[in-house]
Amino acid sequence: MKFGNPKHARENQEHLALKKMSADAVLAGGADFVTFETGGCDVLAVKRTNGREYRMAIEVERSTRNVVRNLSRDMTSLNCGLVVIVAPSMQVKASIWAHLYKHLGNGDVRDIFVVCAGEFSDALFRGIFENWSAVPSPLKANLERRCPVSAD
Amino acid sequence: MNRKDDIVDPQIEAALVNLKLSKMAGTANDPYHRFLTAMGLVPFDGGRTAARFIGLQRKMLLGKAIANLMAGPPPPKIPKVAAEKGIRMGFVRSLKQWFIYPVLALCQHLLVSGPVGKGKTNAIFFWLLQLLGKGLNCVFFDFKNEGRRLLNRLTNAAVLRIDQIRENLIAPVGNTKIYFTMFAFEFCKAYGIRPERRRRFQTLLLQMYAGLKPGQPCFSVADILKCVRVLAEEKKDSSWDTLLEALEALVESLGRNAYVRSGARIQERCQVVVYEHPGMVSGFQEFFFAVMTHRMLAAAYEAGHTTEARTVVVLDEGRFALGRQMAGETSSGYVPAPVRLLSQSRSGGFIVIVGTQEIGGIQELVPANVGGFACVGAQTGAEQRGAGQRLQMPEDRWPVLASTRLGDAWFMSHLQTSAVPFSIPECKMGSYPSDAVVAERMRDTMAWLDSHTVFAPPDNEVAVPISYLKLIGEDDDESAEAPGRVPSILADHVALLKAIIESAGRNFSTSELYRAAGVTPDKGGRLKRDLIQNGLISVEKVASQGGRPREVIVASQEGREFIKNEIR
Repeated sequence: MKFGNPKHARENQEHLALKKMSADAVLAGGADFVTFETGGCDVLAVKRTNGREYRMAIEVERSTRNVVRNLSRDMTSLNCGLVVIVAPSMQVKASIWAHLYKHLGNGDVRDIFVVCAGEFSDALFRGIFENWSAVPSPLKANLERRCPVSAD
Repeated sequence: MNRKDDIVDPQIEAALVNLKLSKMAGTANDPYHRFLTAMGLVPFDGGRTAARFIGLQRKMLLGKAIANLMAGPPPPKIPKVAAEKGIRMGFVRSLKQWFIYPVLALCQHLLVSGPVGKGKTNAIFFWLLQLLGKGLNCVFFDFKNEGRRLLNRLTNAAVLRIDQIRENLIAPVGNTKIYFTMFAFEFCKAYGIRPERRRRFQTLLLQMYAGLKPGQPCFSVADILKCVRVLAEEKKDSSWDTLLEALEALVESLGRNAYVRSGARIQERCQVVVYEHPGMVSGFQEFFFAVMTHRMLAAAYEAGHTTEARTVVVLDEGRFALGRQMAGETSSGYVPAPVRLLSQSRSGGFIVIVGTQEIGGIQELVPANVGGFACVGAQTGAEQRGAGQRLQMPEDRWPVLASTRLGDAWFMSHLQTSAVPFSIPECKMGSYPSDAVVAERMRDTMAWLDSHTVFAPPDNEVAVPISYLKLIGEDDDESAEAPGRVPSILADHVALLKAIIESAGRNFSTSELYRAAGVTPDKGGRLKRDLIQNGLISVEKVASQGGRPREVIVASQEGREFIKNEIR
C-alpha cells in the first residue's frame, strides 16, 4: 500500500513505518477515516460523530526542528482539534516536550500528545478519542499569534 | 426548687401515687382506672369524694402491682410442633430450644416489620430457604434488587426483569370475564382512568378475545394499543385519548413483554422466580403485583384446591405493592387480587411473607389478615405502638422493641398466648451479583423462554428528531453556514464515493467517475487511493471486449454506511 509522501525524499523507512503504524493504531482506536499527507500532515485521522467532523493530526518527528511549524500548520490550516506527535524514542520525546514548553510557554498544551513509538496501543488512541473535545483549543489562538504558518 | 417540691396538696400527692401504681399494675390505659384517677383530683366536697376514689383505686391497684413486681415477665410459651411439620423461626434463648412454626399455619401468612438494617431480609431468607427445602415454589417480588442474591445459593432460581417476562400478561387465566375485569380495574386504577372509560376498555378486551380464531395466539398489550389507536382515529373520538396515553405508558413500562402474544410460564422450569422491578412508579408496581397475583391465584385454583402449602410469595418491601388503597370500586363487585390473596385464599396453597419498615406504611388489611407477625425492632413511638399492639404486649413493655438487638425478633401468632423473643441466625446469601453475572446465569433460561414465545411485530415508529438548539434559538446549523465554517476535509472523498455508489451497475470508467465527482484525474487518483486504504471502495477487474481488462470501482458496505453518516 502506498502511504508515503513522494515529495519528501528525506522521509526514511523508519518515518514511513511509524506513519503506517500510527494510522493502523488510530483506525483501531476509533477513527473513521485516515489520509496521508493531506495538507502536509503526516497522518490525518477523521472521526464523524453526531454530524460533526473531528480531526486529529499525527506527526512523526525525529527531531525538534519542524515540530512547532507542523503543529501550527495542523492546528491553524487543517483545523485539527488535536495533534499527536510520534517520537521514535524516549529521548526524542523528552526533547520535543522541552522544545514545546520553550516555544509555547507553560500555556494550555492539553491538545498535544507526544507519544513514543513503544507506547503505541489501540487503547491509547481510544483514550485520546474519548477525551477529544469539540471545543476550539486555546492553543490554536496561541499558535496563530506566536507561530504564523506564513512565517515558515 | 423543682415542680415536684411545689406540690404540697396531699390529695394530689395521693393521686400521683395511684398513677404510679397504675403503671406498675399495667392498667394505665384502662378507661375505668383513668376515670378513678380523674375523680381523685376533683376539688369539690372538701376533698372527701376525691379521697374516697383514691382509696378505692389504691385498694384495687396495690395487689396487682405487688403481684407484677414479684412475678416479673412470664416465661414465653411456644407451641409444640414436630420439626418435620414446621420450619425453624428462631432460637429461643430463655428456653434453649428452636421455635418451630408449622408450615400449615404459615398459609395464614406472615408479616415482618422493623426499621432498615435490622435483619428483615435476613429473616425472610432464613425462613424462605427452609420452605424451599421442603419442596415449595417461590415467587419473589423484588423492589430493591435483594432477590438476585438467591442465585448464590440456588441453582434453579430465575431472576427476571419485567421486560424479560415471557408471559402475556393480558392473556386470561381462569375465567375470561373475571380476568379482563381484573385487568381493566387494576390498569385504570394505576393510570387514573375514569370508570366509564374502564367499562369501555373492558368491553373492548372481551370483544377482541371473542374475535380470536381457534389456535390464534392472544393479543399482546402492544396490539391493544394499536387497536385503540385505530379506533380513536376511525371514530374521531378524543375520549379514547386518555386510554391511549395510559396504554402507551404501560407498553413503555412493560418493555419487550408488551409484545408477547404467547409465551411460557417460567414457573414450569424454575423453583424460584424473582421479579425485579426497582425504579418503577408505585402505581405500576401495584398493577403488576395485582395482575401477577391474579394469574397465580387463577392458575392455583385451576390446578385444584389444596390444604397444603405450594407456593411462597415474598414481598420484601410490602409498602410498594400494598401501600395504596386496596379496596375495589363501590358496588362494582370487584375484589382486588392482593386482597383475595391475603384474605380469601385459604385453599390456594399460598404462603405470603410481607416485609415492611413500619406497619402504618401498608394497608390495615394486611396485618389484620396475617396469622403470624414478627417484629425485628421499632424505633419511633408510633411504630412501637403498632408493633406492641400486634404482639399483644402490655404497654409498659413496648419500649423493649426499641432495644431489640440485631438478629433478634419478637413473634406473635394465633397459636400463642404471648409474644416470644427469639434470635434468627445470619443467613449468608453472598454478595450482590452484578447485572452481567445475572445475565450470564439467565442465558439458558432466557433462550428457553424465547424459544417458547411468539412476539407481536415491533412498532416501527421512529421518533422524529428535534434539535433542542434549534428550538431555543441556538441552532448550530446557522453557525455552520457562517463564513468561519470549516468545510469538511473529506468533501472530495465523499463526492467521489457518492459518484461511485450512484453509478453502481452502469460500468462507469474511472475517468468518468472523476468527472462525475468534479475532481481532476490527479486528485481523483489520490482520493481513490485513500478510499481503498480505508476499505470504503474496492477495485475489480472486468473483462472487456478485445482490449485489456477494465477497472470497475465498487463501493463496499462500509462505504455506503459512511455516506449515510454524512456530516452537516
